[in-house]
Amino acid sequence: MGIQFFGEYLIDRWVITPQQLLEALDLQEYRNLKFGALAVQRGYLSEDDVARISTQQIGQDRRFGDLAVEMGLMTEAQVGEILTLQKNNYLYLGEALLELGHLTEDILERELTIFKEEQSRYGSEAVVVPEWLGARPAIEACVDLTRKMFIRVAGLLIKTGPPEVYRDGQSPPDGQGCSTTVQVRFDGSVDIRFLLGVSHDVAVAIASRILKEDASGESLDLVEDAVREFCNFICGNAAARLAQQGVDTGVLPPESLSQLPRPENGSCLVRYPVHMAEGRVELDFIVPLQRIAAARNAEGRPAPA
Amino acid sequence: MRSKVLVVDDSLATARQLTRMIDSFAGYEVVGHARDGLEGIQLFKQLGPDVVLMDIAMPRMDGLESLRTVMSLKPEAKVVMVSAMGGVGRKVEEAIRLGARNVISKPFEPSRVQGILDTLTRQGGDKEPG
Repeated sequence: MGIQFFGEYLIDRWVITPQQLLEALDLQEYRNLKFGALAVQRGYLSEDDVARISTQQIGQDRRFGDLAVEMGLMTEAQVGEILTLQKNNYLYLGEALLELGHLTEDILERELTIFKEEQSRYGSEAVVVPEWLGARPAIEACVDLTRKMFIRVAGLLIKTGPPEVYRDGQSPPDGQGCSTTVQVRFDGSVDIRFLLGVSHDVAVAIASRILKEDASGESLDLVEDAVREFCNFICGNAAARLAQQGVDTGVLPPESLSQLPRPENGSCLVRYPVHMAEGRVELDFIVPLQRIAAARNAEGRPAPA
Repeated sequence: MRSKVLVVDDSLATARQLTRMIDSFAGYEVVGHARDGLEGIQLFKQLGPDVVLMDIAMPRMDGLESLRTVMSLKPEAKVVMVSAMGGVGRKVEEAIRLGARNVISKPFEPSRVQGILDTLTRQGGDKEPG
């Protein structure tokens, strides 16, 4: 079982029906006003301002309030006030289910305890991501879940070193020894590519664990397919973790590549060196440079040389 | 009489894992495997499965689009989404709004898969909140 959201967990446990979940989600949507709607309600923004900020937000990994300040439409104090209002009045899913009479307080408390315990297995461990780099939460989630899935799904222990950044035509050392390279693209508000390269013995180990039988005699197609599915586990669960943090994203089906792609103009490649005893693994991300520029401007930090 | 299960997943490895797992459960057999949503609809019409296990992210036609078509063909169809993106709330919401009976997150546990199949087939697919 991977990362779940609370509603899915409750259905899985037969505590509520799908219909009851939909009713609670509708109630949440009605009650939990978005930042822009609240700012209009308080007279800080017009509907036109909200539309302008939303347009700016497309393709940028930035918060609505930060953009409103940057565009001179709101003060930081006003943004703080709206965020506090949102936080104080937020109706959680459990509260919505209670209000609708679909759960009792006892059951909610019991289920929340079990849910948090189960999900804590997928909690985040410290991952170093350069401060100036955009899409930090997505990279952090992917690196952390790569380590966890290697242990839980493939039964292999890996360690990751500090990231190396390649840009302006630089590329990392050749992926010698990696027989399979898989790419997964994120969509929605996260615009990064996850890349995992593995040597043949690691690919067979992954396939054996997924198939629950020795895969050393299986076709290369099947072994490669298992590695793609393994990457799907990692990135799908990373998307789920990001969704829990309010980031709107998903992943596209994994693709096999014949070699590690070079970062195109306008992108950089971030490599996390992977150490493992059983074979070779390469973990890379391709991140567009406009995200780096946006993050750098927002934080007032210089990009690395 | 064994309940018929159709697996729709672009991953051969997952399909094989699910097929072996489900065939080992008493009372179930996997009658077909489709590698994308379009093929899934064809096999659904041909094989008339009792339960469909459907991946969300697939090439050609994704699982949500395929679910929409399956539900329009047979509104009482029992479709369970099986996806690594099961934890993405909006995907789950969309699947349930379209008529999916449940969502299983990958990587999955056999006991969870069997529990869901048992409940769907024994209770005619109606859920009893507890």
